[in-house]
Amino acid sequence: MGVYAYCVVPHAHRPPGDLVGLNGSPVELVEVGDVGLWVSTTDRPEVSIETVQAHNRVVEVAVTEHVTPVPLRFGQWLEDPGQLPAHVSEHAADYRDRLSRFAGCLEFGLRLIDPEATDEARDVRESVPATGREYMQALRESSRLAEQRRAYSETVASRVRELLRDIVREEKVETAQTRHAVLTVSHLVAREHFDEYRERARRLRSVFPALRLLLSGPWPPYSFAV
Amino acid sequence: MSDDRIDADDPELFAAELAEIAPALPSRIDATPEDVESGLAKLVLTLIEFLRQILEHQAVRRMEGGTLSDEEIEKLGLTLMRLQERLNELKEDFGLEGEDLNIDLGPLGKLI
Repeated sequence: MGVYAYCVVPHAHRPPGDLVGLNGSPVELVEVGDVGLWVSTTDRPEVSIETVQAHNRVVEVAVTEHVTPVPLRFGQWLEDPGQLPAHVSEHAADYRDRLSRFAGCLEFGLRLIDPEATDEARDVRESVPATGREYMQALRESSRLAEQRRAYSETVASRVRELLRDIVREEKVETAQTRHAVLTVSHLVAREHFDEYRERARRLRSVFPALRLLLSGPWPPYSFAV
Repeated sequence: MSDDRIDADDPELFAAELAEIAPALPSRIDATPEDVESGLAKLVLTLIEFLRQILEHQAVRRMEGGTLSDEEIEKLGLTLMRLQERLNELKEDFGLEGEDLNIDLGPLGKLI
């Protein structure tokens, strides 16, 4: 048996008595100084959809109108529960800072993809050049196409920023990793702006009619956590 | 997409996108001898791939800067082409694919 941690919460923010987490284990509050952790005493969890969902369910219960926990990544398990206070103390200042920044906010995600996009940069590189010069030319072309794609993503990111900046507390942009991805961005948004955020984000459909939009949230702020 | 927290124009397309990045997500390391060997190979090949991309980038800049003769361009191109071929062979030997050769550096993002 070890201890599994779900999220960091403010001092005295207790889980409901009947809350269970991974492997059906009760969720308890462990306090270290002025921060708390919601934890379960349990065996090391297996990685599965069910256990990840169980982790998220506990984190979502910790969310209230005024408290937004700092969600921990799935899998934070310590064999020796005695190590927990030292670990929390070491990061206490960072946890306090995040709890204060996250309070009253949750995360929304925006993905914009171009269904017609092809990975020309990669295709050029993977053509079969016969000579060294042809290979170098393919590299140059690949570099030019990749730069073109980066510039377009930056244009889209600027437009999104312009549209949302006064109602977004923090943003985190991910680098495009797939053939169709144009922009993947997470936003930390205060509760009073949720409806306004959704309404403005949906406007992106008319701003970029060639792109497809995925708007998701509100979620615990996993993208802004540790 | 039944969750009311998700509003997607084209759910299948977005699901395919997520499936594409899934292999790059970090997985837990179990310390069996086979996994350690495979993990180490992945790490070493990732670093080689990273250096290879820097070399290619520098080579293109030098070519565009006009500082290379025709002979040097040919020689450099052949060297880089063979390096890529060799790396592809090694990836195949260890059962790795393109996106496997990357490292999630957490807050710093991806290595490549």
